Amino acid sequence: MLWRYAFQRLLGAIPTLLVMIFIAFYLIHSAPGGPFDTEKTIAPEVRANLDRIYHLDRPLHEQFLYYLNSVVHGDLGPSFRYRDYSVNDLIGAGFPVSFKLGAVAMLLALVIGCGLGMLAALYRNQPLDYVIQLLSVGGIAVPGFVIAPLLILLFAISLRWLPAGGWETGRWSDLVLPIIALALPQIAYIARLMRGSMIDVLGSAYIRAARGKGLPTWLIVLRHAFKPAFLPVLSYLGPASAGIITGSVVVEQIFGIPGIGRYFVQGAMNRDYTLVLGVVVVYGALVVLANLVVDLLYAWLDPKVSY
Amino acid sequence: MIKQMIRLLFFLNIFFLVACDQSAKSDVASDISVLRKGNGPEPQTLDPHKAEGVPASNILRDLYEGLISEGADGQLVPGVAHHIEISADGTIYTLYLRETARWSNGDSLTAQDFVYSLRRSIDPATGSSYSQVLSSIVNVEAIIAGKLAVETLGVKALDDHTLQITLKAATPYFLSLLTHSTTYPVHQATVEAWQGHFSRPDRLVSNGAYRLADWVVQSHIALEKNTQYWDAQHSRIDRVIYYAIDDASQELQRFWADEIDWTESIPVGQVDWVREKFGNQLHISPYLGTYYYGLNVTRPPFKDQPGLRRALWLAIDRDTIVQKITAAGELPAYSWVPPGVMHYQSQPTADFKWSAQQRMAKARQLYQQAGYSAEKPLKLELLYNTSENHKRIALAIAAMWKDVLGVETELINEEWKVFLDHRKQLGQTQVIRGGWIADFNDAWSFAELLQSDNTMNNTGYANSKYDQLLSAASVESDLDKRQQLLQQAERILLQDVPIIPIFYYVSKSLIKPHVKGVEGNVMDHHYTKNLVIN
Repeated sequence: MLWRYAFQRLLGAIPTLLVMIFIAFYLIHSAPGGPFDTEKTIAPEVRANLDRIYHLDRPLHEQFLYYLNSVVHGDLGPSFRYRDYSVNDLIGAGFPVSFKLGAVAMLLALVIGCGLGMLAALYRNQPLDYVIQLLSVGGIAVPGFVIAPLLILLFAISLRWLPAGGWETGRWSDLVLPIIALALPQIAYIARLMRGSMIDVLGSAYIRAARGKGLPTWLIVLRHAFKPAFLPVLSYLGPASAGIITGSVVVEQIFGIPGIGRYFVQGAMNRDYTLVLGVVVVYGALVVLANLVVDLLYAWLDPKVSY
Repeated sequence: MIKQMIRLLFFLNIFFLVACDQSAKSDVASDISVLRKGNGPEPQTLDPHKAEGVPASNILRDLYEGLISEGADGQLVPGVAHHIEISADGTIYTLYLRETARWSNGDSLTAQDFVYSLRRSIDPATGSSYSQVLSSIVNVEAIIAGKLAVETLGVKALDDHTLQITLKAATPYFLSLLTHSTTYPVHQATVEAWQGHFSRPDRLVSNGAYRLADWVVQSHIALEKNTQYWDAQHSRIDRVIYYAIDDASQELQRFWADEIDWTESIPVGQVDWVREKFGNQLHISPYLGTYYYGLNVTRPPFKDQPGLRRALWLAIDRDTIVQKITAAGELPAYSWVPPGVMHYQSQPTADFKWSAQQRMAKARQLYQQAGYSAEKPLKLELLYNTSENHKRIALAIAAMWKDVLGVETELINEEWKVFLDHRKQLGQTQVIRGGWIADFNDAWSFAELLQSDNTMNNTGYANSKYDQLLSAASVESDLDKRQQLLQQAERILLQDVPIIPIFYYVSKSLIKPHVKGVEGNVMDHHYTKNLVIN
């Protein structure tokens, strides 16, 4: 039953992705200027050649059908900007970097966010709760492009513990600051969610019964309260993955991380049509997938939900 | 179950850290000499015939060597060609190539390689946006236009190590052009094997002092010493890494954190702070470029109004702009061609020597003569591409025009690609920001921009006298006579005021003291083979 549901959801995602590609395609093509507009003006014959090679001489709807056809065949096309690379090459190189960044940030957000939320709920209306609440409001309110330079100033320039940016293959220290910058807003949000739902759960009858049996608090929280209190956080993981993606666009740019978020920004500025569309396809598929996984986990965690 | 989840998370974390750590260990550290440079935006390609822009050129100069090269001071020095003979009329260049010149894969570099490469560079099928710079070679224009076959190009190999290039007319800057990436050789077998997509680390074969070792798009490009290079024993740096950092503030942070040795630029408005903080690590030197405003002379208010155009020229206090806004040693510009160009004395206008009061008085007089006054002010639109620097300059100039003349200027900023598209629309524009950097060290590189048929002339300026003088200069082999013709043309240009030069650029970089051998030069070209790390 569960597999059938998952399969149906995946099928349902196809029209969503198609509409997304359609909108993104026409939006990026409607932006003024093109990939081959540069400070220098190219000789008309050379320009005509380039347009022909990249099918830009065809009507837009033909270009769209041509693009769609190649996407269906697993080919995201050649990059208009990086002439020696295809979009598949670029995403193949950038996606693992972004994924590593996003996945660790998400794990961190979950572990620390839930931990802080539980603490705040247990010490409700006490100084620790106020401190956690204050920090989480700050974490939500202060955007990544403010946090990131502050982290760089402190850890890279003053303390010299970590690099200010860049990416050497496999050097873990490059990832620390970007992950923190990416995870902070999510930690803050999850902590607030967890606190609220944990307070609700702790007030319910079966928890009072557990207390009455004399079970220690940590056991009550971990064994009985965590699972139901985690459900709102789980529902948030879909939007959170979207938040991590949009956050990574900024964070990768600030730290010079060669992930697909950075391609997205640079691609849009360079009018690298295929690269932008390729990233849109990957992001779209990722968000659809993340939402599906959350829904499936829901069924697993909450006995009231079944498919 | 919770325990299982926690265990799983813990395991994943450990796995991740171990995986990272292992790959970090595989990067063996040693005491090789490494230069780390910030290099602005990511280059589009390292194919020398398709590449454009400063970031790509910086890397290509290390990867490839042209027939002619440049020393640390920017002076021309022999490259692959060790000896050159030029015919008396200046049109036939016979170049003798080093027999020791090799490709990075060990293949011998021959005159035939240059014939193949120059043909490829011109061939419209290659899609080079720079092929026009070679138009002084016989038949280039007809080949680009598709009217002649690429084999008719005026380049032939007399034998394996002798190349002959025939020009349409004497071109005094031709040797400078031979340092340009469009003239670099490419390895035919590699180009053909990869159908043109050869500039990747596992594929590229080059002939310069360095070879391509690694390229992580949007991160860095690493080059290693090319042991096959004919002069490899004099390359003292083993590895050079070019980082793609498009934000000057980020670049500064990484320099400050000792992660890079050389920055490509300095954040706008922070030159004073940088000078105070980093002292003599800040290197500033004149650069062959002019920052200017173009005036659209094909439509009102500037059409047939040279007096009004001159009034706007005079009302700009360039000293204030270079002292208070750019503040990095830029020089106020009163001519189109900057000082420092070879075989050329720049031609500043007379107001160069006037006092500020004189300029303002004359500006007001011309403004009134053009029919404008406080009651009937001139209204202008000033178009520039989005950038903090351009904005500050535009605000200052709009304020100067307002104070001195009462002109009401509306500032319009546009994102780069939108701006590129918009500035060509002569039916819409009025004042357009511009900056012109010489492709090669010759006054022609500036003069040609304002020719009536130049596709980059965004002002609509068309003066037949100017065009005639340039045509005459383009076939003049006597350097003095040629200089006179170009100077005369520049004087006419400045009299007509289709452009208002504002300042001459300087190049600004932060360079760590352990990088030795750096000499400022007007083209801002630095070859890693000329540098040493102590």
